[in-house]
Amino acid sequence: MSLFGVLRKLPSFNAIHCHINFLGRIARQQPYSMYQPFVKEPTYSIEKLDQLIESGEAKKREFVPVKAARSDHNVSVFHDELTSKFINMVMEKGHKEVATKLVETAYMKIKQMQLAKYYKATTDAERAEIELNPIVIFHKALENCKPVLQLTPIKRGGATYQVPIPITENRARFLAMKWMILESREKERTVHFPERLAYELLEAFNNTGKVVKRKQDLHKQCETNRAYAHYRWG
Amino acid sequence: MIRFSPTETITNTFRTNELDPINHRKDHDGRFYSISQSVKKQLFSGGGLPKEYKELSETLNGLSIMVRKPAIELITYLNKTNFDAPVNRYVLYGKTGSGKSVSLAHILHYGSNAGMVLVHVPWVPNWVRFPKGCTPSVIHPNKYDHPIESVEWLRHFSTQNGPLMQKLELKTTETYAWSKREMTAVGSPLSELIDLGMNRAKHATDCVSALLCELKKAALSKRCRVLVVIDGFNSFFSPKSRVRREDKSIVLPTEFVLTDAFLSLTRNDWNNGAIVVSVDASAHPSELRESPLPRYQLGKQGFEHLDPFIPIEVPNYSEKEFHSQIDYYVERNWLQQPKARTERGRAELSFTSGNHPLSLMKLVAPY
Repeated sequence: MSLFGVLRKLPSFNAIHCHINFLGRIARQQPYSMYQPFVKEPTYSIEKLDQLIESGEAKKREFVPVKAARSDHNVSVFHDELTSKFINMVMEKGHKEVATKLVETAYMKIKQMQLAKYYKATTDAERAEIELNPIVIFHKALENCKPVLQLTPIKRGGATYQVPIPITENRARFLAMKWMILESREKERTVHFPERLAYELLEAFNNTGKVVKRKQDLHKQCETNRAYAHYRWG
Repeated sequence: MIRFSPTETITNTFRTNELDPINHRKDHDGRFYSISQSVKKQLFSGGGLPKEYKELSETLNGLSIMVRKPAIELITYLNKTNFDAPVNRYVLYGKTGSGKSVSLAHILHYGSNAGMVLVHVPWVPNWVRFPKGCTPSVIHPNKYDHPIESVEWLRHFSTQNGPLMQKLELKTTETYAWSKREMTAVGSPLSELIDLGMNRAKHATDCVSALLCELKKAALSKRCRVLVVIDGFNSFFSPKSRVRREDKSIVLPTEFVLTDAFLSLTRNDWNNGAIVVSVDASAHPSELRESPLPRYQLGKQGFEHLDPFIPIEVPNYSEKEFHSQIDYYVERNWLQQPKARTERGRAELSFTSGNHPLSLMKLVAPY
């Protein structure tokens, strides 16, 4: 059997059809993935590869099968994984170039707005406080938007209750990005997505704005529904 | 420093405090010199700097132009010109986005400092591709006027040359009859002609033609020195335009009155001046963008009009210029990514942009 056959398999429906306990959900290992479970994600960052070689880890990984490289994986100095993920979420119908352009325009606008403040500031102390790096702002803004709990609908005795449950890191990141994008899409005719996104990111960076408010509303809802928390276990 | 002050001592290698373009020489190559707000407003408020470049200069808190070889070459020639001989014509050519318009802006500043009357067309395709309303000319049969564009251009001319025109006090040498009752007599000041054009859009185009004619005569009689700077000159010979007659046939740019006026001024039948022109592939429709070279871009008609001319290539950045540009972006806090500021980052930027100025600007913009 070829290597390709070993690594990839025809889509089997075993994982989907097996009975999954809804409440005791364990992290599934990508049931729709074309790869066998033992195939590892590639490491493509030059620094990480150097680290692996130095520490001796590279020797152990010599014969471990690795997934194919994705088109957004690159060793550019401008590469940021979180930005890549975000661009994928902004993308519609596979138009990656459009999505990249939108997000990069938003970054440029963030820089423009922050530089305007920077050059207006009069003292060194004021200037030191202004963050100019759009990627740093993006990371911090997402952190500020990530919820800590989420609500899930659970049926008990004919009524459906919104029960607060813990949230995984991936889900929190997903919700933060999703809310950010949805907020930036609501617009007036003249204000386009990149500009709106830039404003939202800057507001979230300062812990204000609509997306942070949405997270806080979710937390408040979780707080008011804490009485139902035990429904999680029946 | 926040706003670069010209009197501050220069400690970095990518700037120069030689603010007068007349004195720019080979050792200033790759260095930035700053242009004050007042000069920028005077020279470029009607156009002349590319849109993205202008916006970037406003973001970075000050207009600084890099002194590059094409401009230095031109300045050397202009400083050594024998103004008694017929005018020399210089043609800047190069790929789109290689820095022709900015070089022309540099030369414009030079001309302003050297006391030359500036005849500046910021971007000819604006008249050919996006005319705001062409009307058939009354005086010239089968030709077309640009009333709105002519008014704008006269305003631009008077802003650029305001103080100089007041000093020179040039007078008309002919009578111009605009209608049965309106006329501009011989010996009236040129400013009257300009004002008439700015107030009466109907006669504005003919005012422009008259003004250019007068300036040519004034230069011939040594009353003033004229510098003609035209960006996108090949658009005058474009095979298409957006102007149509009633029968939907296209009006060629050679049938514009403005074209005749500027072509007459760019002929070498006068002296005491200089003509600097640029040809760009983006000034032509997409079918004519195969080569950036002057002969191809000008076409047979344009080439025969401008021949003989001195072609000056505007190439991509040299290594020194590239590093200077990155230094400038870093110092102005535009290139933010810490990894990009390293040697590896610079190598990557140099490779992915190909040292092409516009590509570099676009790559650095989001980060």
